Amino acid sequence: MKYSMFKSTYVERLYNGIIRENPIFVLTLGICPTLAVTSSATNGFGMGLTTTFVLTFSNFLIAALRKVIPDRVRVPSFIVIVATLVTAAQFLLQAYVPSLYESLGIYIPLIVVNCIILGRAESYASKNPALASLFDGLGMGLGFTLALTILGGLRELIGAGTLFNYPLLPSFYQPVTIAILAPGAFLVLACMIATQNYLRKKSGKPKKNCSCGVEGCGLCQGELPTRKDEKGEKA
Amino acid sequence: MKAVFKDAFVLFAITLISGLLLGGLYHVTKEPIAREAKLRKERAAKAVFIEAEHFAAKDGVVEYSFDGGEVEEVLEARDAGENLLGYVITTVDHHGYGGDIRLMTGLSKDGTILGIAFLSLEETPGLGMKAKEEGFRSQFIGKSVTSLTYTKSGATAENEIDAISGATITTSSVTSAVNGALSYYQEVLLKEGKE
Amino acid sequence: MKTLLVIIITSALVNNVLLSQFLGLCPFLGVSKKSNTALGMGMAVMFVITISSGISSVIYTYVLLPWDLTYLNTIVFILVIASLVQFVEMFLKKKIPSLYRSLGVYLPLITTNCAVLGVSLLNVQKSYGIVESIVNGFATSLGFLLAIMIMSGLRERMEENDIPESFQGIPIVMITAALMSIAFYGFAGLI
Repeated sequence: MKYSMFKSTYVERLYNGIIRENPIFVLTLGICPTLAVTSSATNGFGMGLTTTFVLTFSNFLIAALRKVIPDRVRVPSFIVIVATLVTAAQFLLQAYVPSLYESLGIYIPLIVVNCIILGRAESYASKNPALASLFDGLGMGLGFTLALTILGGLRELIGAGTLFNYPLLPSFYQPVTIAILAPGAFLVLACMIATQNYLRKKSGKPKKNCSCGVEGCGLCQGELPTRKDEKGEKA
Repeated sequence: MKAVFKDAFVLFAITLISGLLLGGLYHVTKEPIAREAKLRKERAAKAVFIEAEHFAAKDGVVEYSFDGGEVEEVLEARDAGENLLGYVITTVDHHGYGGDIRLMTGLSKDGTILGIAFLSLEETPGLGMKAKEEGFRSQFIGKSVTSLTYTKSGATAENEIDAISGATITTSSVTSAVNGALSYYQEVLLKEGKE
Repeated sequence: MKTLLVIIITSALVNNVLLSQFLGLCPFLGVSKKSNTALGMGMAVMFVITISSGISSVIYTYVLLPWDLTYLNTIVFILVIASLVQFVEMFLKKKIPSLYRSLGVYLPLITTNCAVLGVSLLNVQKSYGIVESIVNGFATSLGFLLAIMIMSGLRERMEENDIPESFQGIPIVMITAALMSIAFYGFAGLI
């Protein structure tokens, strides 16, 4: 009985991260790497997996240490843990997947400031048991990977006519290079979010409010933290 | 006051443990990272000088800089009988669109370009990154000139290279890096041979 | 001097931090609804990026490099930035309350702004010296201010427009950003 209940929490966490609260499409968290590295499906997928690695372990470690870390130095401690994991991921990629390391470049260390990671640490891992947090991180990471791969795939298909480097479109297709350039990143993601808004409206589901976990993400419909919130944060 | 010390202590402990763990991991991965870098270099050298059996670092490489960058490394390409076939020169140009462009140029003993290969290229995907494609790189092969220029209106002369459309800055930077290798060959390697 | 000028033009316009490097997009999308908040955010970012790129460059050159600890740069830089933001906030609150009142709210938002860490890391990657790093930090954040101000001006005008329902909110802002990004491509002709 207890086992099945536990198991369902984990499955629920995975579903939540991949579909219900997909970090990109639903929460619009972590936009910077999303747009920057998705010039091809391979890059998007690689970035997604690297982030998943960091997110899963950071959630696990933070949840495991949540009773040891004093509240006041919570955020700096989280940042140190995340930065350590990111640097570790960087070494491993450099040693074993150098081609990916080359193409992701500076965006690997920037995973540290990806809003998703600190957001999950604040809103989930710092309040829940280690194993559930691990699955939460895994779910969110996989949701992120899915979104990045789709975005990268679309951009690559439109902009180069290939998918994961395999030519997919017939040779008379003239690639629309702008899709893999900077403006294309904005355009394609805008259309994807709009499509999702449309589908959601059609199915009658209300538009989700941004449940941004960490202050500083700044995406919560342009709301700034009020003075009061800020004091609460420091207290 | 006590709470402040406790906070500071916990934060310090976390930082210390993280630092130590990273130091450890750094030493573990150092070896494979170095090996990978060496392998990449060898592969690139092999790609620009197919006939060579092995490569050896050249003795007495002088410091040499050209407009836009420097020569970083010079390898001698040798056949199985240790005979000198030519050189592989690594140059870096600092004026790429996305950062430094580092490439290897294979030169035969008489100064003909045998091929170029990139060691680092961080240009815009879809535009500057096309420099990596066979169609652009193969233009350099077989040229035996003192320096190259690029053109946007279709290369006709021996010393002209077709620019990548939409990526003039990348083209100019790549051409400059190759020219750096060519002038090193003329001004240093050739003179050495005569002495 | 010429190098510094090229750095300024490249970082502020050609490789605009928001429109071509995608660093610091969260505040760009989130805090660009009104031009006065955009201005506040832009100024706070300029303040922090310029100082932090100087400090990280000094630490990198005099501590990390001689002791062969460059692999720790991510973790060191982010700690520098987090404590710098905290420090700047305390300093302004005590010494220059008027400036604190206008920038204060934005400061806590900056630690997780990836443009700040991004600039410090890019300075290292491009092997800039200390002066070049500070100039690059200043120019990059100038580009940030420019882009976020233009965006907020456009958004204020768009308020009245009839936008298809699905495109309201984030999507239309991104379409606008795409058009700005195309426009900024024109600056490439400057270098």
